[in-house]
Amino acid sequence: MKLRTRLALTTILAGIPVLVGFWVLHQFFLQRLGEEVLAQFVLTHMQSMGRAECEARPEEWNYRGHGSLPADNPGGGFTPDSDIPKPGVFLIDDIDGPPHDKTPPPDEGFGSHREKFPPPGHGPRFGLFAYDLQFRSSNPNAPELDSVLILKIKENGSSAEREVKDDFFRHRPPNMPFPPELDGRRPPEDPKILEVLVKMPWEKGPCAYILARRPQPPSDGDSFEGFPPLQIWLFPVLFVLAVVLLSVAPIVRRTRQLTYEVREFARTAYSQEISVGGSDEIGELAQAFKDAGEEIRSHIASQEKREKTLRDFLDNTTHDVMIPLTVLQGHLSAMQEHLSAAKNIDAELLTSAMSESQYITSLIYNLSVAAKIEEGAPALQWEAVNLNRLVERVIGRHRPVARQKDISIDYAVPENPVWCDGDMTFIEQSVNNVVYNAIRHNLSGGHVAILLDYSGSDSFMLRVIDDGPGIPDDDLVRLLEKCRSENVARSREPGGHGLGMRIACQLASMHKWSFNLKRSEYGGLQVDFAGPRRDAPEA
Amino acid sequence: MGERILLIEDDRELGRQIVDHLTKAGFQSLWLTEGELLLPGAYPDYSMLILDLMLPGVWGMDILKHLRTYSDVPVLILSARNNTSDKVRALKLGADDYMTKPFWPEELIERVYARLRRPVMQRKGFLTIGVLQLDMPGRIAFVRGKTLDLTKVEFELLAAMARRSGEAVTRAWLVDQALDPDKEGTERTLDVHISHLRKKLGSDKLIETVWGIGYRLRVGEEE
Repeated sequence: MKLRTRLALTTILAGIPVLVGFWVLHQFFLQRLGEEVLAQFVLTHMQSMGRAECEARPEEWNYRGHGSLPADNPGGGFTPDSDIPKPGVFLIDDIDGPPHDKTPPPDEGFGSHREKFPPPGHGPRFGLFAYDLQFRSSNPNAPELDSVLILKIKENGSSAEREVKDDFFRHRPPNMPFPPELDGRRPPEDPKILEVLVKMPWEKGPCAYILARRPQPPSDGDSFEGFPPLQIWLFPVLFVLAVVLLSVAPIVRRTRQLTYEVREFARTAYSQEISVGGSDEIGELAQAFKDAGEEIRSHIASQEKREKTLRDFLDNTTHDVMIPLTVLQGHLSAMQEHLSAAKNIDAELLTSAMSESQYITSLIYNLSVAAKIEEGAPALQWEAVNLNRLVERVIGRHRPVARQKDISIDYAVPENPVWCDGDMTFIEQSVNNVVYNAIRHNLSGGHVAILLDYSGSDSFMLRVIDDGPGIPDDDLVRLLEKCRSENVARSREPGGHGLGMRIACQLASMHKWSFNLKRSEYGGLQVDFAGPRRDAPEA
Repeated sequence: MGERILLIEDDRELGRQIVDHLTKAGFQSLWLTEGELLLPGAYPDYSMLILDLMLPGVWGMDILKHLRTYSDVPVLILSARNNTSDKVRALKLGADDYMTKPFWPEELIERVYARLRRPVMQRKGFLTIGVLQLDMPGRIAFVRGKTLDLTKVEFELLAAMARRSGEAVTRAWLVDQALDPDKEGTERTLDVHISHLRKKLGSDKLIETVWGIGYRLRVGEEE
C-alpha cells in the first residue's frame, strides 16, 4: 500500500473513534444539561407561583402556566412567558391532557384523544406532577414513582432522574396525527421519556416533590441519532485529510527519490552518489545506505585485491616453479637413463636434483609470503619465539643439501636460549632464505655458519656468514636499497631471483629488526639480523 | 631393538618412506593410516609419536589433545600447513616439535634423535665425553684413563667445551668462560691455548675448529 493511501486510511481510522468518543461525550453532557435545566426550571417555577397553585389544588395540578418545559436544547433557553414554541420546546397545554379548568381544543387534534390516550397508568408525556413527602400524589394522572427513583433522590437530596419507555407512538391510533413537537420529523426508534424528580426547598404539603416529564427529542430522520449532521463534520474531516496528504507530499517525494537512487546505487556497484540528505529519518536512512555502500565498496576492493593477489601468486608460482621442476625432471630422467644403462647414478646429478627440489620448496614458500605482502602487510602472529630452536631447525632443514654439495654448515647459539617476540613462521622463513642463499651460491668445500648471540642487555644478533663468491659491493648496496624501498612482490625478477633476500629483509623490517648485508671477513656475504630480546615465557 | 615410534600418516607413500628411514635409523615403527584417539594401552609402549595433522577420521590436533590428558610421550607434528597459528596451537596443545612438509628424511631422523636424546647419567661432578673424562671437583682430565697435565686455563677451556660437547661454541664465549679479561682475554690468546690443549689431548682430534664460529668438542666413541 502506498504511503499516501496508508496515511489517509490511518487518519480516517484514527478519526472514527475520536468522532464516536466526541459524540458519546456530547450525548452524555447534553443529557446531563437537559436534566439540570429541567430541574432548575421546576425549582424556579415552583418558587415563583407554582407552589401556591399546586398546594391550592394538588389533585388537579400538573402545571398550568404559559411557560414551557425546557427541552434538551439549552441554547434555546427556557421561555416561561412565551407562547411561541421553539424547536424542542413544547407548550404543556398543547400536548398534555386538558387541565381541569381548560376547554378542550375544538379540532380533532391530539388533545381530543386524551381520555383514551395515553393509556391508563402511563401518565401524560409532558408536565409537572406534585408528590408529598411520602411520594404520593393527589393527582390521579401522576405517574407512579418507583423505589429506585425514590432511593436515588433520598441519596442525592436535591434531584433524581430516570428514563421510562414512551409508549405513545406504539399505542397511537393510526388516524391520530403526530404530536407537534416532532415538527414533521420521524419519531425516535426507541422513544423514551425523561423524568426528573426535584425536591422542593420546603418540607411539608402535597407539593414537596415535583416530577417533571419530557419526551426524548425526535430524530432528524436522515442522520445518526444525536450525531452532528453531515454538513458539520464532513468539511473538517476532509480538511484534516487534505492537510495530512499535503504534508506527506515532500516525504513521499524524498522517499521515491531515495528508492530510485538506491536502485541506481546497487546497479552501479555502489559507485553512484546518493544525493538525498537532511537530518530527519529519511536523511538518516540515506546516510545509512551511503555508509553501507562504502563498506561494501571496501569489501569489494579488498576481495578484488585478494583475488588479484591469488591470481598473481598462481601465475608467478606456475611460472617460477616450472623452471626448477623442468631441471628436476631432467635430472630424474638422466638418473633413469643411468639406471637403464646399468651405470652408477652420478652423485653430482643427485645433488643437483635435491638442490632443485629444495629450491622449489623455498620458492613456493617465498611466493606465498610475497603474495601476503602484496595483499597488504600480513598480520603477524606475535608469539614468544625460541631463536635457539629456530636456528637448529633451519640448520636441520638445510644440512642434507649442504652435505650433498660438500658445504659445511654449522651454528652456535648461547647456552641460555634467546627469546624474542615475533611470528615464528615468518622469522624462520627469513632466516631460511638467507641460509638457503648462502648454500645455493656457495661452492663445493665452502662454509656457512649461523651465529646467534646476546647483544647488549636487551637485544640479540643473528648472523649468517659464508665464504662463497659473495656479491659485488655495488650490487650489495643496490640490493639493500631495493630491499628497503620497494615492495618485494612488485620488484620481483624473473625466476624469483633475489626474492628470498628481499623477503628476508621485509620480514625483518616488519618485526622492527635491523637487517644488514656486508662482505664477510671470509670473502662471502655476511647478513646480520638484530632485534629486541624478551624473557623466556613461563612454562 | 631400538625404541618404538608410533607414526600416524595417511599418505601411504610418505608413510612408507618415513617407516623405512626410521627402520634404517634403528627404530621400530608402528604405522597407522587413519586418525583415531589413542587410548591408554591400545598400542604397545612407544617412545615417540610422529603425527600428521590432516587425517581421515580424527583430526591430528584432537589426537594430540586427547593424548596429553594422560601421557607425556614426545610428539612431533608433521604438517603441510606452514602458518604460525597452527604451529602455536600444536605447541600449546603439548606438541614437542613441528615440521612442515616437504622435509628431508635426514632432518626428520635428526629431530627424532634430538627428542629421544636422554641425559647421560653420571656420577656427580664426573663428566664423560667419549674417551675424555673430567673430574670437575678435582679439576683433573683423563683421556682413556690417562691423566692430562693441563694448566688452569686449559682445564677451564676443556671443561667449558665439555659442558656443551657436540655444540659449536664461539671464541668469544670461550674467552668469557676461561680467560681473565684483564690479562689475556683475547681471541688470539685463546687460539694459542687451544693449540696447546690439542697437543696434550693427543691424536684423537677431540677439539674441532668450526668455520666462522670457534671450536667444538667432538663427541667421540666411548671405549
